[in-house]
Amino acid sequence: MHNLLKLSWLNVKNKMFSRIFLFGIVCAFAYPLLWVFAVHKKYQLGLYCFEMGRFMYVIMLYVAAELLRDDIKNNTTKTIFTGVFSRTEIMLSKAISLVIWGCIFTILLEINNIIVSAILHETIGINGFLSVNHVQLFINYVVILFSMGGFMFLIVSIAFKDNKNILFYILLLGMINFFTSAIVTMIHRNPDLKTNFAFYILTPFYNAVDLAGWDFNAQAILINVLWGIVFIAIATLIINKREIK
Amino acid sequence: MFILQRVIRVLTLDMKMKGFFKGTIVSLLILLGVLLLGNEGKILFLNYPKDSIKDTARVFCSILPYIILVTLSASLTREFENKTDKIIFTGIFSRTEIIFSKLISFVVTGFICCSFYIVLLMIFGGFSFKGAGNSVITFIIYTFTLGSFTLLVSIITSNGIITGLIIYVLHFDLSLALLGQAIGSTKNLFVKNAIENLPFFIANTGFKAGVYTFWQAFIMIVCGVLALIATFVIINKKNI
Repeated sequence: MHNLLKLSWLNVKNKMFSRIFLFGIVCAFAYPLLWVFAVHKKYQLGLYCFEMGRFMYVIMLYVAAELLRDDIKNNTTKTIFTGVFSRTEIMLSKAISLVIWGCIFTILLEINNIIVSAILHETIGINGFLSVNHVQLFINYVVILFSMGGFMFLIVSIAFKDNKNILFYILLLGMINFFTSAIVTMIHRNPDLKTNFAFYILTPFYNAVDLAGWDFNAQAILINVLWGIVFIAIATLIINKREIK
Repeated sequence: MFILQRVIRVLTLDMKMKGFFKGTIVSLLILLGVLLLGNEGKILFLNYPKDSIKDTARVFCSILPYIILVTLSASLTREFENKTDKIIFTGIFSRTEIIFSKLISFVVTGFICCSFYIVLLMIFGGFSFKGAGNSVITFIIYTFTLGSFTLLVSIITSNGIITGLIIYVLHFDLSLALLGQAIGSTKNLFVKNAIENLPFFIANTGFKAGVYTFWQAFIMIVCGVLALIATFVIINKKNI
């Protein structure tokens, strides 16, 4: 078990300090700052946090896909998947890596919250920062990463080497995420619309947006954790059955 | 005559690559299938009005930029990732010619997507000759400019997914939301004009509108040419 945890942490550490990820994070910090400086409206801290979360959504999907693809690219799939650990244990370690990524993204969001609170110290300031529910933010983003990361695992396990497909799905999910926020806003304003979208509310995409920008919602957390487990389980099954060349 | 032959060979070089037409057409057909299925499902099960089938062409056109983006990002980076860049860039054709032929293949991809769109308009309604003409020009300008930017980013980061994500962030939903809000909330006319004339803002807003104004088209083409020149300079200096 201890070795498994070390493996999970190594997977994350290697990606975290890579140039591409750091570049992405710099851009992720620049995005809400652009909202602060270029848009002359006064918003709550929650909006800047949400916008950064939306930007980082594609980065999250990318790192989740890379968790599985790194092994394929570096030709370590043969070693990793036919070595000491069983394939199921490897997938379990990757699932734990997703949780670690959730913690890292939460830390980045909190840093952003501090920066924005400091810059807009008249309207938001310390009080605004303290009024954010930090534990809830942490749980929400770990669950988002677990469910959507699991979905990316499923996609990568099917489209093993195909770059184009993976890029298409990341973009598609990014687009769905972007436009779902309009649906979530609409439903929060008129709760009677819930019956029209009852089917969509059960999908992980709706709940990922709901968790990212709105208040505590136990149902959303439960639905997404279940979806995450389902996705990772199916991906593990597919990887188990695959012939690794 | 020899020069003309060489020019034609360069222009059609990338299109002769295996799976070029097949890949684009298959993804367009799949998209069309999903859309028609979704529309029929909505009409049959969710009691949407039968007229909403007319929206098919419009919804198709709004997803096309994503398909075009994926095709664009995968093209040059595929060479770097399959390690065929050494073969391609040190062969008979000069590096500039290779890049140019890729750009031509992008524009042809845009043209294929445009033809699909026009056929859909003819089948489901909303077709007009002027609109079709505008669409063709719009698609060509769009793929030219976006293609040039993509080539520039591809050369710098030789990774297909990263290229796609960078272009997505710069041109699509995220930056459009930001720039749209910035325009709406500022009273400074200079800033407003500056943002409205950014190619990042013009590319997709003009595409959705179906036609670029003369000034927008001019900016797009100039920026595309600048990006292309930058690409030529970088690829010729790069150590392969």
